[in-house]
Amino acid sequence: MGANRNPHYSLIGQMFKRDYQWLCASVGRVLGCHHSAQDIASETFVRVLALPDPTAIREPRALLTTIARRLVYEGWRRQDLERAYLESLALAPTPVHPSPEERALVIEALLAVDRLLNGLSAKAKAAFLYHQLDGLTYAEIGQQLGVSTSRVQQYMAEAFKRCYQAMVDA
Amino acid sequence: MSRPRANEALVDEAAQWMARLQSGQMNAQEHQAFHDWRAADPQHEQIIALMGGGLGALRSQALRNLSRDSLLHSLNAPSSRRRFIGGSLSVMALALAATLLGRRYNLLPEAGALYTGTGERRDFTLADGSALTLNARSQVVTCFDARQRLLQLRNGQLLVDVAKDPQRPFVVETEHGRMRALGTKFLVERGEDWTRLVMLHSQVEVLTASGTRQLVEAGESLRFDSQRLLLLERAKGHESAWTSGVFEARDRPLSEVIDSLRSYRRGIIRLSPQVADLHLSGIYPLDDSDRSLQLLERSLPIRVSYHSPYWVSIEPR
Repeated sequence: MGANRNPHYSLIGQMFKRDYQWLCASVGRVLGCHHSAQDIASETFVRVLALPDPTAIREPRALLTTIARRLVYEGWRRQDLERAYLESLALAPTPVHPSPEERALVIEALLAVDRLLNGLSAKAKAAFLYHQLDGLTYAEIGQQLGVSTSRVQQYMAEAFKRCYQAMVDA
Repeated sequence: MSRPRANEALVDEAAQWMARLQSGQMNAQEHQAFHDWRAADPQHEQIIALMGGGLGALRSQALRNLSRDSLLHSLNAPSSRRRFIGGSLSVMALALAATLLGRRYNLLPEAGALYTGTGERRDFTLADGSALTLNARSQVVTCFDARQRLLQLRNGQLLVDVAKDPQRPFVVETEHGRMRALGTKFLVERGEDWTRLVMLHSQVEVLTASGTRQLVEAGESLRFDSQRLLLLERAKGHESAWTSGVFEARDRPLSEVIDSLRSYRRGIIRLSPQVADLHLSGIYPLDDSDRSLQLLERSLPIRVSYHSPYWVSIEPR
C-alpha cells in the first residue's frame, strides 16, 4: 500500500509533527549518535504507518517508544549475530569466504531464527534445530546433548511455545 | 498490532501436542486424541496453525547451508549491550541507567569479549596483570574501572590468577552469582544451570543472585545456582588439569569425559546411554580427541565408530 493512499496518513502526519523531534532526542540519548537516532525515529514512523488501525492508538508516545525500542534492540542484536557469525567463520575447520551478498542473507536468516527462538536455553535451541533442520530423532538429540529423551520433548514444547509467541508478536 | 493472546494454558497444551507429534512416536490412539483436541475448538486449531507457521523462518536456504556449529554459535551470541540498558527508553530510567552503568561499565562499552572456539585454549594477561586462562568454547567479558575489576563469564570455564590490588576487588560474575576476591587463584565453570567455583589459593566470597553469601576457602569447591548453594565439598585436586591440556578422571562416568571432549571437537559425538555410566580413571589428551577416543575404546567395553570426521558414535561392544 502506498503511504499517501493510507487513509490515516494525516493522523500520522500530525503525530509526526508533534513527536518526531521528541523521539529523535529520546533515542539519541540511548544511542549517543544523532544520525542513527534519526534513522530509528524515521523507521519507527514507517512501522506506525503499517499498523492496521492507527486510530486505535491511545498513547502515541508510549507506542513510539515501544517500536523504537524494538528497532534499537533489533539493530544491536543484528550486530551481535553478525559478529558471532564472522567469529564462527574464522574458527571453521576449513576456511569459508562467503560473498557480502551471501553474508547478508545468512544474517537476515539468523535474525529471523533468533527472533523465533529468543529466550530459549542453548540446549533447547540446539534440540529444536537438530530436529527441524537435520531430522535427528529425540533419542539422538538426547545423546548429543547429554539429556534424556523426555527432556528433549520438553525442549521441543518450549520451542513451539516460543514459535507461537513470535508469530503473535509479529 | 498484536493479535489477542490465547490463554496460556491452552498454548502450553498445544505445544505439548506439537512436541509429542514431532517425536514420531505417537500411536494411533494418540493421533486420534490429537485430532479430537484440534477439532474440539477453533481456537485450538488456530494455535496449532500459528505454531507451525513459525517454522517458516527455518526454510531459508542460507540457513540450511550454514554449518550447525556456526548456526548455534551465532544464535548463542550474548546480547552484549541490550542488558546494560535495563529495558526502557523512558528518559528517567535511562538517566538512572546511564549514571549507574556509566560508573560500572563505561556506558555502552564496545564489549571487551575474550573467547575461545572449539578445541582452543588460550592464556590472556588482563589489564591489571592478572593471568586468565580460558578453556575451549568459553567466553568472558571484561569490565575494569577505577572501582572494581569485573569478569563476566558467559560460557565455559576459566582459571584466573588474580593480581593483588587492594583498591579494586576482583569479581567474576555469572548469571548465578558473583565471586569476589582480593588476590587469589581460582577456577570457575559455567554450566547451563549452575556455576562451579574451585579455590586453588586463598579465599573468595560468593554472593548468589538470590543473595546467599558463602566464603569458599582454598581446596574447596562450591557448586551453586541463582537460587541456592548446591554442593560445598573438598576439591578433588585435578579440576584444573585442562589448563595443561588433559582431562583427568578418577572414577568418573564416561559421560563426563565425553562432555569435556565435546568442547574440543567439532561435530557430533553420540554416546549410547547404555555405556554413559561406565566408570573409569585415566588421563586423556584434550587436544587430540581422536587419540582420547582410541584410549577409551581400549580400556572400556565400547566401540567407537566414525560415520564421518564430524559424526562419531560410541556404543556398547
